[in-house]
Amino acid sequence: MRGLIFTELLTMAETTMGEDAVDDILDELPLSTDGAYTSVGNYPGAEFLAIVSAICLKTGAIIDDYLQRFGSWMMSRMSQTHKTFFADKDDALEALEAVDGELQAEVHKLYPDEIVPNLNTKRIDENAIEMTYHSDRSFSAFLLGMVQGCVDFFGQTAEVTAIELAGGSPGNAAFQVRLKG
Amino acid sequence: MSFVSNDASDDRVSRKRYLRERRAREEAEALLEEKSRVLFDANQELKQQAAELERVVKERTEELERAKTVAEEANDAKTSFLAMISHEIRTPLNGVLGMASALSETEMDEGQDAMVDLILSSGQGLLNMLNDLLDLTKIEAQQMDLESISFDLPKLIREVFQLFSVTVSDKGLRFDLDLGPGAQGRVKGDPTRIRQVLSNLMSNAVKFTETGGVSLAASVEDGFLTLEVTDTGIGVPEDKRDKLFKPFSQTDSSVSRTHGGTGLGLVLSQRICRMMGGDLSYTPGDGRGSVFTATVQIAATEEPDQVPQDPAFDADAYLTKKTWRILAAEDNETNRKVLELLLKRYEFDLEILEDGAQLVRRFQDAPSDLVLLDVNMPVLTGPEAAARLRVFERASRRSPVPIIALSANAMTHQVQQYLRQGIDAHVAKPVSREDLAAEMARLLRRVHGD
Repeated sequence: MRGLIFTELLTMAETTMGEDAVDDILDELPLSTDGAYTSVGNYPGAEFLAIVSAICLKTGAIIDDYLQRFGSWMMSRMSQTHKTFFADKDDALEALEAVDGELQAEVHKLYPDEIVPNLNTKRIDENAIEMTYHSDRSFSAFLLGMVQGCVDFFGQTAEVTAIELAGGSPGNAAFQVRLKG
Repeated sequence: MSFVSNDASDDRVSRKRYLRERRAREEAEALLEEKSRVLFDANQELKQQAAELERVVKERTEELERAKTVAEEANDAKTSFLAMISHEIRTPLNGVLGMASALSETEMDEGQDAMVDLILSSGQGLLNMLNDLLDLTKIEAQQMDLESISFDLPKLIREVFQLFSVTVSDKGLRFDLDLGPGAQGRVKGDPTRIRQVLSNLMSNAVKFTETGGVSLAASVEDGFLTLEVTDTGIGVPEDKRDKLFKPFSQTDSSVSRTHGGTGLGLVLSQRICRMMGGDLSYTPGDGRGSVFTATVQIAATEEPDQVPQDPAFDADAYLTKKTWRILAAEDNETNRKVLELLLKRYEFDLEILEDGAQLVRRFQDAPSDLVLLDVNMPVLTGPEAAARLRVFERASRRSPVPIIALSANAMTHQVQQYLRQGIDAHVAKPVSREDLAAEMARLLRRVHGD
């Protein structure tokens, strides 16, 4: 998993818990680099979940809620670091349809062999898309947060509804994003 | 004062945090090292691939160049083979046509007359085809020379038109000629080639039209002569039109069975038009038939006609006026026989020698009124013999004798070279009696007057 995810998670945690609390968590967990993450590194995904769990345990937050908040945070950071990506998009749906390509490029530019879970989108109509997230990790909450962050960025509102996948597995999730108003 | 502080509002950072940040930085630097090395290696590999690609492209280009040269050489070989074969066939054909022509002037019964006529027309057909082939090979080898001389345009067009009038009226066709306001008077161009193109188009139109008519419209505008030949014949089917201007590809093989011809005429005419800065194109007629439009570049001129013509002059009568002494040199036995028979009717004092050197010696002993010289001869070629005759004439203060070259190599630049070497005129082989007689009479008349 890209180190950027770790450094952003820790930055977000610091804004709410403070640096010391974050340091304590990192000290307590058995982490590969003793919690010294760099945004350009690549680290085991399990460590990410361990950190999130530890934060939630300490703050009393629900893990899915926390992941959703983090998804929103990441989208908001992306809107600052990838201004050109957003500049030529007319609305949130257009950005969400293109975001998979951008994520793949971000990961592969440093780690060409890394497997990145696909984020597939399908256009339903002018105001709605369906997003399917194939992953062996439960990231639908994170993704929901990203969608929310994206919709917020464009100043739009949207209704996101989960779709039951036929024979669905825990690693697969799908939902529909429908713009409102 | 404590170095380590737990107060988040304090500007100081805990030792633990500092060490973690430093480790993260070192990790990032190590990663940078590693990744930049990978990038460098990838870049090197790319450069190598690019160089390899360049090498392969160069190699392929060279291969293609070689293949192209081989193909061009093969094409050149084909062209020169065709030219050589056509040329070689003309020599025996000269014998066939000459003898048949001589035979036709003897006493024969009706059946024999018809047979000789057939030999003559078949031979003439073969000769026309060979000439077309030679023209085509000349164009392909870029050895076709064009003339630029002053000639009477409406007269040329009328002559060609006239040539087909008998066939047209035999077939009961309408025949129209429209000489536009621009197509009047003299112009500068290559009358021989324009005549060739026009004859070809007219011949096709007449050949393929059974009912209706054939019309010819000529106009000159902005330095271009346009000749439009329209017929109401069978036309060209749409799917066959792209074959029209390809060698040996009459649109339908049944066409050559029913109408004859080799399919060389149109391709040759188009190439000639293009050499003259124009083109030849086909458009379907209105309703039925065809319209062939030939354009060639010509220049307006005030110069007098450079094609010497005097239709009122009777060459045969002039040649039989007295017993002219004629010396000729020809190394080929058949051609000697042909020449003798061709000229038999004029009762010349004719002596035919076997090479140029013999002729020069004979001329010095017993000069003649006119000299006929084959061009390619052993010992002394025609032009060499002509040069010696001129030297002898100057030394002995004689006036120049008219000299006519006879050759199958009738390319314009060669003819002009002959003319510079003291030769007065040129008649192409196979020699037609009419052409030879006309030239002989013209040159004799120039020296001896009426």
